[in-house]
Amino acid sequence: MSMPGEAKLLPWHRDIWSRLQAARGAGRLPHALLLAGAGGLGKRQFADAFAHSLFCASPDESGAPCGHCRGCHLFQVGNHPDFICIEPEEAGKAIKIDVIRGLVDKGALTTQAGGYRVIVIEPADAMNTAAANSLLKTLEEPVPWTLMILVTSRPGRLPATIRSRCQRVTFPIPPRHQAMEWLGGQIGQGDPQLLLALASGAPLQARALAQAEILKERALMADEFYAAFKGEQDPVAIAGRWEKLDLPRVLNWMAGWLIDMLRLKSGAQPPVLYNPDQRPRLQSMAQGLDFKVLHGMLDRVYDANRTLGSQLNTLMLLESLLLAWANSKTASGVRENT
Amino acid sequence: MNVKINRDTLLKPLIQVGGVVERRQTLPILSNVLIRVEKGELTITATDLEVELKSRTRVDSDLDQEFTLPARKLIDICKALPENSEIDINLEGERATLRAGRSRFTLSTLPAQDFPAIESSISRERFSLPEKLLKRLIEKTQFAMAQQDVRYYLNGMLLELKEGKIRTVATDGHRLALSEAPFETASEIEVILPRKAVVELGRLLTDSENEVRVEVSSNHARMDIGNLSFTTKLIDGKYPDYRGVLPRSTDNRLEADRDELKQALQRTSILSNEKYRGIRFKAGRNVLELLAHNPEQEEAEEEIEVHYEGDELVIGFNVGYLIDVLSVIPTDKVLIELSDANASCLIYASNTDESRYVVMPMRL
Repeated sequence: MSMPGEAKLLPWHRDIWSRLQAARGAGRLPHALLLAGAGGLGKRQFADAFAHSLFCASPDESGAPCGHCRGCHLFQVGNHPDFICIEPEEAGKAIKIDVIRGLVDKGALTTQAGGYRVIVIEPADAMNTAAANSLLKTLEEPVPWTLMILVTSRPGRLPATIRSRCQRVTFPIPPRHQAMEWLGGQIGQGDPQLLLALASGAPLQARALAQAEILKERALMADEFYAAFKGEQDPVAIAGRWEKLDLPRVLNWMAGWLIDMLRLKSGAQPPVLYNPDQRPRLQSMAQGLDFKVLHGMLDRVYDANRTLGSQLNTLMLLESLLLAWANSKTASGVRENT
Repeated sequence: MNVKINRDTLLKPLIQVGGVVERRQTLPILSNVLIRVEKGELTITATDLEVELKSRTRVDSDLDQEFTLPARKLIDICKALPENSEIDINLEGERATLRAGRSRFTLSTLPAQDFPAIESSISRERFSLPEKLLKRLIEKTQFAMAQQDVRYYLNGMLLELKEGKIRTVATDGHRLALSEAPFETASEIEVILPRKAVVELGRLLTDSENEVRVEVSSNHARMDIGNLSFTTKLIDGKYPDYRGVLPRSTDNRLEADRDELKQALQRTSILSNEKYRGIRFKAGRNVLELLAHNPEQEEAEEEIEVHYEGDELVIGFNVGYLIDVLSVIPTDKVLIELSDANASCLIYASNTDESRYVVMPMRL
C-alpha cells in the first residue's frame, strides 16, 4: 500500500524531481522509469510523490501537488483508481507472473480521471523470471498516458531486457552535510554521525537504525563477535542467540566489520569506516589476521547474503560463519608459518 | 444523523449493484457501497474500478446524506431481515448502527469522499436504443471475446455505429462474431468495451422494449437502463479491421438443421482430441460426414442429411467454436459457407443476416 502521508519530497531528491518535472512539462516523460540506487534513500517515497504530482489537477510550478483537489484526496487516502502498486505478497517473497499478467488487462483500460495512470513496482528485482518476461511485452508497447516506475536497490538483478527498456534514474548518496541536517531533525536519540556511517550514508536507513534496541543489539553483537575471535565464547552458542535476530541485519553488520578490518589493515588512516566507534577493537583483530582470511570471511558473508529468502537453515548458516570466524586466527597463523 | 429506509426499498437496488463488488479487493473501500440520500432519492453505487453500477430509487426522506457501508454484509443483513421491516441507519464517526425491530447491527464505515466513484465527464456522443436490441447485440457475440490475450484490444467487444448500422464484433483471433442492426446516428462511434463490462451487461439487460440511453466519453461509456446507471472504462486501443476477415460469399453453401447438427457435433466431440478438439467435416452431395479421433485411436463418425450442392470438400474445425455458434443461432436452419479446406467458413441463420460468424479451419 502507498504511504500517503510520507509522500513528501526529501531534500536530496530535488534535482531529480525538477529534472523529471521539466520533462513532464515538455511532454517528454518516458513510459517507464527505473529508480535505482542504494536502499534507504527514499526511492519509493519519491515514486509516490511523483505519482501524486501527476494525479493533482493543479500542481504548482515546482510540480508539488495542491493537496485539495479530488485527485490529491483520493491519492492521500490510498484510493486513487489510476494508481497501481505492485509489491510481493509478503516481504522478501517474489512478485509472481499472475500479478503482472493482471496488469496487461488493467493497463489497457482508459483511466478513470482521464489523466495519467501510474504503476509502481517495488522492489522490481523481486519479480521472478516469468513475471519479468511477461512485463516485457507491456514495456515494449507502452500505452499512452501510463507511467511505470520500477524501484530497486539492486538493478543488476533485473534482466537486461527490462533495464534497457526503462529510463534509468540513479539516486546518489546525498552529500554528508545535507544528510546530517535532515537526520538531525528526524531522530530523537543516537549520534547522527555514527548512524549515517552505519547506514553507508543512506539517511532513511540511518533513521531506521536510530532505535535504542537496534543499537543495543549491535553493541552486544560486536562484543560477541570479538569474544568469538578471542576464543572466549562458544561460537555455536553465539549463533544460537543471533538466530533470533533479523538475519539481513546480522549479515550486514558482519560485512561492515570485516570491510572495516580490511580498510584498517590496508592503511593506518582509512578515510571512511562503517564502524568508527569500534575502531580500536577492529584494529586489534585485524592485526592478527591476514588479507586472504579476511577476504575469505567476507566472501562467506556475501554468499550467505545471497541465500536470503531461500529455505536454508539460518542456525546452520550462522554456526558455520561463526565457527569459521573463530578459527580465522589459527588459519592466518598456519598460513604464515608455512 | 439518521436515515430511515424500508428493507425492500434498500434490498432491491443493493442486489442489483452488489454483483460488481469483488470478493477480493485491492482497496478496502471497494468492498463498500456508496449510499447517497438526496432530495428524496436514494442512490447506491458500487465499483471495482473497471465498471461502476449506480441504482436510483425514490425514498421518503428529506435528508442530504452520503456514506459507505460494507456491501456483502449489508446485503446479507437486509436479506435476513423480515419483509417490509423499517431499517434505521445511524451514523456516528467510523461506525454505523442499523436497527430494525429488535435487531441491532454495528458496521464499520469509510468516508464517502474517499470512494473512487466515476465523476460524470463531458460525453462526446449520445444515442439511445431499445434494451432488447442491445441485449441481442451482446448476447450473440460475447462468447467470441478473447480472454487475457496479450493483444489487449481483443479482450473486449467492439461497439460500432457506422454507415447506418449499429454493430458489435468480438474475436479471439480464431473465430469472430458479428451482430448488427440498422441504426441512424448523426456521428460515427467506435469503442471497445472491456470483457468484464460486456459480461456484466449481458447479465443486466432484459428483453424489454424500453430505451437504453448510451453516452460515450473519451474514457468511459455509460448506459442508463431503467433506474440503473452502468459505467465502464474502455479499452484504450484500436480494434483490428474485422472486415478483412469476413470471407467473400460463395455458392458452396451448406444448409443444415441447427439442432441436428449441434447434437451430432456434441456426440462426435466426445472422441476428439481433448486439447485441440479437432473435428473433420466431409461435405458431399446432400450429406455431411463428421469424423473425429483422439490420440488413443478411438473414432467417432456421424452422418447427417443436409442441403448441399457444392464441391466435395474436407475441412477441419475446432468443434467447440462451432457449438458456440450454433448455440446462439436463433433459427431452425443454419447456413454454412465453405470455400476450401484452408479458408475460414461463414455461418449465419437461414432467414436473417443480422448476425454472422467466422470460424477458422484447422489443419488435421
